[in-house]
Amino acid sequence: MRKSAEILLTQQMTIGYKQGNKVRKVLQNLNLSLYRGELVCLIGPNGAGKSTLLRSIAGLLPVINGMVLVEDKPSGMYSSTELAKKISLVLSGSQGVNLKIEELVEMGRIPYTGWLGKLSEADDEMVHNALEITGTQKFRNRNFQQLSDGEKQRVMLARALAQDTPVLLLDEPTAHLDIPSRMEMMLLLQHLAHVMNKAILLSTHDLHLALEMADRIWLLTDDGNIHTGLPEELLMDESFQKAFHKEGFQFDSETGHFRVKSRQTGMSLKVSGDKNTVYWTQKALVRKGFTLDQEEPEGVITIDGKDEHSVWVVEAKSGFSQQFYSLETLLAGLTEYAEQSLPV
Amino acid sequence: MGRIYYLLFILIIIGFITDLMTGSVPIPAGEIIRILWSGESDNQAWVYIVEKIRLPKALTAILVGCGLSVGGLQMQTLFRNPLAGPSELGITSGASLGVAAVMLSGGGSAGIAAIHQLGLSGSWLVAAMASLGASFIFLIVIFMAGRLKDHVVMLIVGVMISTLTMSLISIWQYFSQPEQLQAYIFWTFGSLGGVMGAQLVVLAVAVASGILLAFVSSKALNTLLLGEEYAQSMGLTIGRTRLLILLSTCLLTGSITAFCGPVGFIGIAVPHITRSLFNTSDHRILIPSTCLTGALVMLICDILTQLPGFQSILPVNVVTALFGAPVVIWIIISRNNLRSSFL
Repeated sequence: MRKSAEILLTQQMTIGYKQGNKVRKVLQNLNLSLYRGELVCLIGPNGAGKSTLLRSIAGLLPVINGMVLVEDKPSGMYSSTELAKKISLVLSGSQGVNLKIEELVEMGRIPYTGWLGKLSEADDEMVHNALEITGTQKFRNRNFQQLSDGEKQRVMLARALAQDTPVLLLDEPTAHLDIPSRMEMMLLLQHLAHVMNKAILLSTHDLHLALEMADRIWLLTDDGNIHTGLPEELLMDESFQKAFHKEGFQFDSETGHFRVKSRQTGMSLKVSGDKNTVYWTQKALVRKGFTLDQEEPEGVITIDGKDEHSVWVVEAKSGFSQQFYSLETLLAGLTEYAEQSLPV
Repeated sequence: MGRIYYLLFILIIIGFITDLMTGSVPIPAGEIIRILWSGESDNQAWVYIVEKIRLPKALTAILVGCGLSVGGLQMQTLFRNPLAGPSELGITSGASLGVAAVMLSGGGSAGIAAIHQLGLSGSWLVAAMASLGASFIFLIVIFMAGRLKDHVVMLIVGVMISTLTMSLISIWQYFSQPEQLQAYIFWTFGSLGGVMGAQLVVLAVAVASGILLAFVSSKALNTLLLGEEYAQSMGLTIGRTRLLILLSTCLLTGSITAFCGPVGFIGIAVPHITRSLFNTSDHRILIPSTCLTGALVMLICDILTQLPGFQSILPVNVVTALFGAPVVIWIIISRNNLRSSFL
């Protein structure tokens, strides 16, 4: 991997809100680094301070202590226009504006234009490229309000790209999007980081995508700590699992998904037969609280036939034996039997 | 877009001449043009009426229309609130407070007539006090806006501030002389007449500088369309921009309110009409076109105050409300992109 250059770092930064004389600190003494060419995902439970962190880095919120260095210079030393040429921002939720897509993306050139905001040829070129990369060229003449949520998010990204900054901060760019649009958005961001050598920091609730696509993870925990590292490192040292620990759920480190912890009431079962049917039968059984056991099961389910012609034959050690002609009746029958045979 | 500009221009010229024609003494269009062109007419009285009364009044109408509309446009963008306007957020009542301070406390010599007698310095005094009063309320509203993100709540607060200011004025009125009271009440009806000579110059200078300021901040206003956070991330200094908009709006609202009374509805209605006419949110286009639309609407309102058959003239405030309130309701009901321009 090519050696990446550090573009932004925070030194002993404390962030939070000031209200009058009261200071509410959200996160303290942060020392974080952002590198060019890297896609970093900021994750953490609700209320851990993801948005506050992004806004503080962007300079929208004054930091309480410490500082943000952009290209080795404190961000406070930049004029607001100069800083706008270093860091661009995509906020969550779509802003309602009655603008054409092209006009909206042109707004990204605001830090570069004169007092009346007239675009030069170079500006036009930049806008054109931003539209092209994000695939929003085709609706450049449509109104922002006519677009879907996914398209709106891409347009807002195009605006940030037109701003032509080495650092790009995004607050939950995948929220409100359906799964294909999320994938598309993340792939696009990965491309921007890896190919266009931008430093991209985004907050997200989508752990699965974050673990899969991020070059680095910033993990915020409830107690105000922040763990940084490769996704795999955070999984290995269990910080992930700890951060999202909650009663009734378990974090599946293999898939990055949460699973509802099932009530272990049923018996242990072994399922055999057509591979596909077995897979989905097992899933359903686990959901209903049965456990799977290949070696010493209390009961065996043999599946005859496949797809809609399947027959589930249950034979338990206790002597219970029955045939079921659908998955639903199988689950109902087994649950009923398990409840009857439970020790009182 | 160019075609709408031409159309507006022609309509304004027609409106201007019609406004000069109408009044207690109807004057034919041909004579009006002749008087404007050469200053001569067969009827010497007509020359006097046009030059001394109707021409200043029509010019005032244009200034008021431009100024209030541009003020409203800026406020709607700054607060991201479609229902913002000088009178809706209490800015006009702030200006009224300033005017009341001059009129009602000026001993026995106050009143419109007295202000007119004070001449140029008096005009400046009233205009400055009205602008000060307007900025005072504007500052309160800006402070509130930082805390209240909800449009409706913001509007209610505006109405409350208005009521508060009005009751302050009422207390003042209660302890005033009858003549002062009468002058003040007449002033609140609003009038485009009576702004002449030096005062017209003062008003014109104030309105022109307000509009110029607004035009200078048109890029900043555009930047604000995406909300303050985006604007800041694109390098806009919010504080400076707010100050510029405050200055412009208060200059416009203050000076107009001082000379013509609290004129309602123009500030809120005209920007909406303009946005739907030109179908854009770009302030580089909106500011000049709002001026044109505002001037036209105000000329029409002025014509309606002196409908033929009526001997007396209706207060202009009554007409703008009669005309403006239905327009605002129509806008809210019919235009579904009203919400989309903001929120």
